[in-house]
Amino acid sequence: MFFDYLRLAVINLTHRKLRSILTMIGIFIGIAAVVALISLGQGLQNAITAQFQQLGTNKIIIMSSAGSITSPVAGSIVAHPLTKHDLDVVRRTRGVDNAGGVLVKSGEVKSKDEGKNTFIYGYPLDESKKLFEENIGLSLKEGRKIKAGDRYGVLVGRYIADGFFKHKVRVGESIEILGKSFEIVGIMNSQGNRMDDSAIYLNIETVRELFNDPEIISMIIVQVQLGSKPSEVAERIEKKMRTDRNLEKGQEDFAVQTTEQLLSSFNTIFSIVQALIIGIAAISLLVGGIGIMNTMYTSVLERTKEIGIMKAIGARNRDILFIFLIESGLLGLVGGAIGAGIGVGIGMAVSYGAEKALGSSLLVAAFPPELIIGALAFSFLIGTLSGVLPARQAAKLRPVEALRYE
Amino acid sequence: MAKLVSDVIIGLKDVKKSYWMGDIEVPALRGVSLTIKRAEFVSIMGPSGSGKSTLMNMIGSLDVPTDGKVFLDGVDISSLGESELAQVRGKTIGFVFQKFNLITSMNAVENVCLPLIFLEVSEGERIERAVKVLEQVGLGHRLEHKPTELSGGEQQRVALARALVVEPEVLLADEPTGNLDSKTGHEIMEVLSELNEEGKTIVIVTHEKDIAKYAERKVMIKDGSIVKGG
Repeated sequence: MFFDYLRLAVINLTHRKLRSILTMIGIFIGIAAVVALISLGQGLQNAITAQFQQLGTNKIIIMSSAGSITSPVAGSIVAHPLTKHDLDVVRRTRGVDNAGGVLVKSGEVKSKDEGKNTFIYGYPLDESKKLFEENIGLSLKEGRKIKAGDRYGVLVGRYIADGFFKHKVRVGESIEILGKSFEIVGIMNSQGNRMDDSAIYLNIETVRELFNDPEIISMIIVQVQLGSKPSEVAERIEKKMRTDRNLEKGQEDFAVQTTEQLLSSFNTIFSIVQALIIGIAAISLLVGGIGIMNTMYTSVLERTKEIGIMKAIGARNRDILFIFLIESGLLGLVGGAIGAGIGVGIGMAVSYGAEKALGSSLLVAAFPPELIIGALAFSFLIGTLSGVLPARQAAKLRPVEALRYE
Repeated sequence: MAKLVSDVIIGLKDVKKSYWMGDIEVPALRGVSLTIKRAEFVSIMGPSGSGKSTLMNMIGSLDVPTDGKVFLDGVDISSLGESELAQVRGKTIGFVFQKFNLITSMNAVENVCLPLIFLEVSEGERIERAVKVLEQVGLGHRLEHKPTELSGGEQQRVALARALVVEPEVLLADEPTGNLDSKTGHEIMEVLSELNEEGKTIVIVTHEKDIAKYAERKVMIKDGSIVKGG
């Protein structure tokens, strides 16, 4: 029975092709937008979660409060930056297994007379060397790492070696940083995003000399001792730094966060963004639904006589109701399917574009099955709901009056 | 007695029907009683505004009377719910309309299959029956054509096939020749006569004497009352 109704609905919709397509556009724009945006958001979230997982959950990150989680560089230019002294304070805190300072600067790098600005990372060679290497996910494509005593040897990101300058850069070549000459000792593998791949790594003490700032640190990474709770250790660090800086609780000019806290604040931001996207999509789908309702009302009016005929030859009210409901549901579902297809296409195109233009693998659209299934189910639901009133109107038509309608 | 009851396929007992135009009651039928027996060929005649369309709606149980009773195959239709009535109507009566009333988006076979869908007949059987009836009315070569691709006479044959496919007790035709030229009209009437000879009950509503003469019994209606043949 259902398939017979379905066939009737398909016959009707294809008979009014243009109107069906126009009606479906209302749905598929909304669905395409929501699928594209959520898939990209989901991809970004997956990538960031993966980076945090690489970092591990037993880490604590300390930054100057002006430094946001997305820009460690900003942390080094505020009035009260982190210093070597803070690192000592942190290292002396109970539960801290290891702590290292990360220094990030930006400056001009020159190779064969071509100068460009990029990020310069201070590479610690003390006990926190391993922690730093873990943190940046160091893996070498060629050459070697920086060793203690390497004052003028640098490691370069994958993109610096191939793409950053007009020419390729090789191990053993010299490179000029802020006017001083250095030797490239190693090239790193790609880390999946252009910002990291465009960075240059050199001895942290050399960076301090270059920038003439012997104490500064952009960010402190803490490895928590096995068996200690990161959140408790973070609280202890915060308290100790507060005392050290003579600050009251609540006045901190620095931020201590465990990787879990960072991840959860990221996730909160994503949830808010996602809720906004869904809200906008809901409005556009509401408009699409009203479009379907409008089309169905027109259709009921146009087919009043047809409804009368069908009733005369034995159609019950519910037969008419189902035929119209299936029609409107189908408008929603097909519109949703086209929209989901377009959304997937947009998501993939943006991922591809981001990869090409920014060298970033952060923006790789993810299409969890529940997104697609949800989008289809929702569009079918919208179609069906929009059809309820027109379909009831059609079902209630009295055969005599419907037959008399011209 | 039992035999007599089963002989009657449609019975109207003192049926009154009024329409309201604003606050004014317009009586269309003023107490009509009529029995139609199986295998009868009845024509209902009357000038326009006489109430013959209303009478036909009552006979076809497309509408319910304001007062009085309508029996369809022995069942009082006021005792049936909407969906039961639709089913009984679908099984018992085949309608043929003046303007053919085919569904324009469907081809001949699909149109003829339609009533069988509502009777929940399986697809295979539907098509088999539809093709058979279309061949019977001489349209075996027009199965896949849409109404717009068919002549008036052919469209009325499709409509006839659609009415016949449910094997109804009664074929109820409202001005079946009204939109046809006289030659085609008479061809359709010949088909109806043949069906009557095979035992089908046929009721036609017409204002053409020429057409009414095919019937063995003529009912005349005027001003909402039967004046002859009731």
